[in-house]
Amino acid sequence: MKPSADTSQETSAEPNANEDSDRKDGSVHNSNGDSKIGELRRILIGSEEVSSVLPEAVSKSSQKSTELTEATLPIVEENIRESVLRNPKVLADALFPVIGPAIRKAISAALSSMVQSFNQTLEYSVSPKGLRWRLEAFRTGRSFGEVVMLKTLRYSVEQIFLIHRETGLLLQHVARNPQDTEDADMVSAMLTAITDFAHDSFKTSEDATLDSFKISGLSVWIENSPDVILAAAIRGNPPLELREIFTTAIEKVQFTFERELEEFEGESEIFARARPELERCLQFQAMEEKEAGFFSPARLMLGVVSLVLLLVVGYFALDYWRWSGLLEDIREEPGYVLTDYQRGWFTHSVAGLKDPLANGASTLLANNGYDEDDVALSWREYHDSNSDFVIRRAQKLLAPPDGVKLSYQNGILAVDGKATSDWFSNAKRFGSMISGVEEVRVTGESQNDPISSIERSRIQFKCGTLEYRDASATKEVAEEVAKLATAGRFDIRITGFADRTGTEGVNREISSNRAKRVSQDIQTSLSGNENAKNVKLIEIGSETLAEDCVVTFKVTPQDQ
Amino acid sequence: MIQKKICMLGATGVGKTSLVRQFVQSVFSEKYHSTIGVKVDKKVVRVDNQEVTMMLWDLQGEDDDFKIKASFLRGASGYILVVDLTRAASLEAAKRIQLMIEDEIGQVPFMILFNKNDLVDEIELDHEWMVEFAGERVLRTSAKTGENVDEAFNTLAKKMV
Repeated sequence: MKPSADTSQETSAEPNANEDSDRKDGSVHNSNGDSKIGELRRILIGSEEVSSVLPEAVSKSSQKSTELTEATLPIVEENIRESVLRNPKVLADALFPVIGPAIRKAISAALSSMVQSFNQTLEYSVSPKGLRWRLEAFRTGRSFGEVVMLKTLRYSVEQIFLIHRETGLLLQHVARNPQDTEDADMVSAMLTAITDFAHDSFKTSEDATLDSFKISGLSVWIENSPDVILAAAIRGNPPLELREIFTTAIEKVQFTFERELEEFEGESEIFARARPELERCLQFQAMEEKEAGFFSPARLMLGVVSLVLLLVVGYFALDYWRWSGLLEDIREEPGYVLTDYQRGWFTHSVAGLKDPLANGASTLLANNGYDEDDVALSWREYHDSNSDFVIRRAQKLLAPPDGVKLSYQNGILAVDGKATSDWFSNAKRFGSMISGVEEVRVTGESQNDPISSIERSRIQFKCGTLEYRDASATKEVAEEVAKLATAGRFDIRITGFADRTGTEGVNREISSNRAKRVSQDIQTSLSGNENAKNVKLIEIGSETLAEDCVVTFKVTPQDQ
Repeated sequence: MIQKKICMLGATGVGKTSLVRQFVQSVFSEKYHSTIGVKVDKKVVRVDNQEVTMMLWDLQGEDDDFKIKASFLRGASGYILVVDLTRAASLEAAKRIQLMIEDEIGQVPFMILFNKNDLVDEIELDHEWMVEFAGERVLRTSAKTGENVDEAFNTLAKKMV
């Protein structure tokens, strides 16, 4: 960069302190040439002209090429290093506002990468595709990771070797995986030897070179310039366009380091400036997942399998829900005790105890969606001690008349209401036989039944006579007949008996007379009773001999 | 760090590969000798507080059936010429190889090693022949015992830097 002619003319007319200074120390003389040198020095060092054009010049240079950047890079790096060494706090303070966001961004990116990696791991581990790849890895003896990479990777430039063409010495090496940098210099030398070997062995012309070679899934592409070899180790199937990137890179290196390459004596540090260019060559492209049609065979099959699976799971879930409901209902149903159950694939079984008076199991089955064929039922009879069932059993056995109420508590069957004394008597007698009943307690009002009362009555006579043993006995019967007469029309057969003493004729006569006497006394008692006509008294002398000398009664409704 | 390409040369069976094996831990298989004619090894030595990486190009030995590929010599900063003390014919082969080297790459630092010095009873070369070829500083080596092996490589490294 030099000042323009105009600038030179303007500034040359002005005296300069530096110029005077130069004159004093005698190093610059007062000749015309010395004056110009002084002027130039003044422009470069003391004038503000340079400072006014420098920013613009730097800007234009940066837009034009990266030479200025590359030239100043070592200086800037050295300045930063020196600044940190002298006083780290200055740079730390300057970077402080950006460190926080940078860390957050880095953590976010790392988390995102981890989640993506986790998703990929899941996909590759449990998906059909992942299983298929595992099978392939097992079959081919490759690692699973290698198979995944080969299947998903379109290409990846793994390493770039920048080699001095004449010596085969490694100038620079960049790698995607830092572990690959080991022995790069020997690989570089052997690569050169191989290219030389190929050239010497198969050359078709003097400038013929080895362009590429391939080993399994790895390709090595080689680009040559007059002084440099750029070798790229590429995994996958790289596109031809990638060569343009390599060509551009090697041309740039050749151009930038032309002098250094010509004078190369084995010192490679200077070529570190070429690393950014080489790192741009580490291209990577993942294979795009081929979008299959929505109704691809695999998806259809997966859909069918999923549907069948869903139906099966749904059926068993529904059945489980119904089965649980049935068991719950049986447990809650009075009169049932569930002792065993088994849930089969298609039929189930239930076993237990059942009170004969409990509700039928078919209702329970139907309520839960089962047919009787779906569940095998096996019940053994038992008597439920629950009060409801005790009362049901009592009602069935005792058949209480209307107006009688049964209740049960703590083993006591309480009978309350109105019934005949006979019924109460039977209730007491048979009630205690009912399962669960320890005692029958009758608290109801006993209603006298005239028929049974009459028929239970036995009028005693003194043997051999027509004289009552108890004169009031006939009167009580007469009262019952009077009650009976109010209830309807009845025939009352009055049968007299004689004991075994005496002759047959006497006995027949006396038994007949005893019946007549009782009949007459009853009629006498009923005289004046307007209902007396409802009762017809029939006297019979029994020929049968009895132990006692008695008269008995038998009541029969007249309409029967 | 400075890198230097050094070629190991000599007739077949003079012990070049054994000398290299004594000097370095090889990475590549020796089958490369018979396939592409060269095998490369590396050794880092220190010369005057400076690390020098010696890239050793161990070339297949020359015989009637195989001639050294000139392209492998290109760019070499030095070379080691190995002669078998037990075979006088290997000295003649070394002379031819040296002429070829100078023709290909010009004058560069080199060392001439008279190898298999451990086989005392079988030595065919007398001292005068050696001095005539290599000058007063004749270096006798033994890949088997390691005699003078490190010294040979280190001396060459000093000559090159």
